[in-house]
Amino acid sequence: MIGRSAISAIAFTRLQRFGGQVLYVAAAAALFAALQMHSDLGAHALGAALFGSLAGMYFALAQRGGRMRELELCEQAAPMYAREVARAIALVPSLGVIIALAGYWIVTEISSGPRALATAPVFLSMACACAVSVVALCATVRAGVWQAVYILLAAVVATIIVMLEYPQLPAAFLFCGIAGFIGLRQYGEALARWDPA
Amino acid sequence: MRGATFRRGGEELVSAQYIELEQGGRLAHACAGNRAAAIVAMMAAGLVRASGGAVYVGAFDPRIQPVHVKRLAGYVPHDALPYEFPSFEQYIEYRAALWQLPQAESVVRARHILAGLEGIHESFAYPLAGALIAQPSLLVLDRPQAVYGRQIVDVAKNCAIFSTHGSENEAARFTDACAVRI
Repeated sequence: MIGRSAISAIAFTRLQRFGGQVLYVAAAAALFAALQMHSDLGAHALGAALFGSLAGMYFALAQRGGRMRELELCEQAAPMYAREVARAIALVPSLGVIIALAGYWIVTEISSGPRALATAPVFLSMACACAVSVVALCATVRAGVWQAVYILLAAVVATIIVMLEYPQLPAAFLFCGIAGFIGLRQYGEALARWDPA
Repeated sequence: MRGATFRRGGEELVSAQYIELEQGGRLAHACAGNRAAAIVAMMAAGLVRASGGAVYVGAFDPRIQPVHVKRLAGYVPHDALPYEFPSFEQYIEYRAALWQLPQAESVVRARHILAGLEGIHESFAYPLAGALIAQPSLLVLDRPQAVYGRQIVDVAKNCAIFSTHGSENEAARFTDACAVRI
């Protein structure tokens, strides 16, 4: 019998190594939400999207090198297509930011008192952070100027989504989807050409 | 390998390599240095694509069919990698998931292989056992230590062994240790 899938094995093994850092970022997000206690929903939505994007970029950039080298060599040596490895690795920063932003919105919900939170900004902040982290992943398989360009591109994606959020909420979700999809394709293709030498 | 080279940024890190290894054969290959040895091992295992020339593993070209090559080849790195899996069994289950192997059967096979590697440091023995659970046709070793040569040959059984070394002396020592031809 074949056990768990390769994608879940890669994602959960990497996430296990990041467990402590995910908890620290979630705690920071909760603290940030507590500091914004008296702000309105607009400020919360903006804060969550920007904090989540920064956290996503951090988680994405931490996916390569250092402590991950052992896993990288295993993944590179495994009979898997680069697009499958890309999907698995993309799950890690995405799950990390979802956990962190869950911490943010739980504290916001508790501190907002009887006012009910709208769900759209909650999901948009998570979608924004996931899209940004996938774009930032492309920087991990590049070096020099191109690495800086992809980090900048991730920041631009976050800014555009935040700017679209209020006038055009559906457009913001659509942009998240398009940016995430293109970012994931790009990452898969770059990973196929990338060599660990 | 037929004239396989590796270049990066205009610098030739690996000069043209002409290597042929038949099924079940053994070859200790001396390279120009440690870096070249690491790259040649990765080229043989399909992890790195040659910049020039051609590499075939079985009938497959890693540039066109990397997944097929990786099914045939088992790669063991040189570095003493940080071992952060909580247990040997979890490491093997992880590798079994990546290679789409039955997990329980892989753990049993890995324990059997590990028993044959008694005395070898775990930072080399675990990746070696992990590489052999998929029963590869070719075992690629990046600068293995000569003292482990005999045990490696014993656990690899009829699998072809290709090892790279940073110098002629190291290749000769490995050859002496496990009676492989240069």
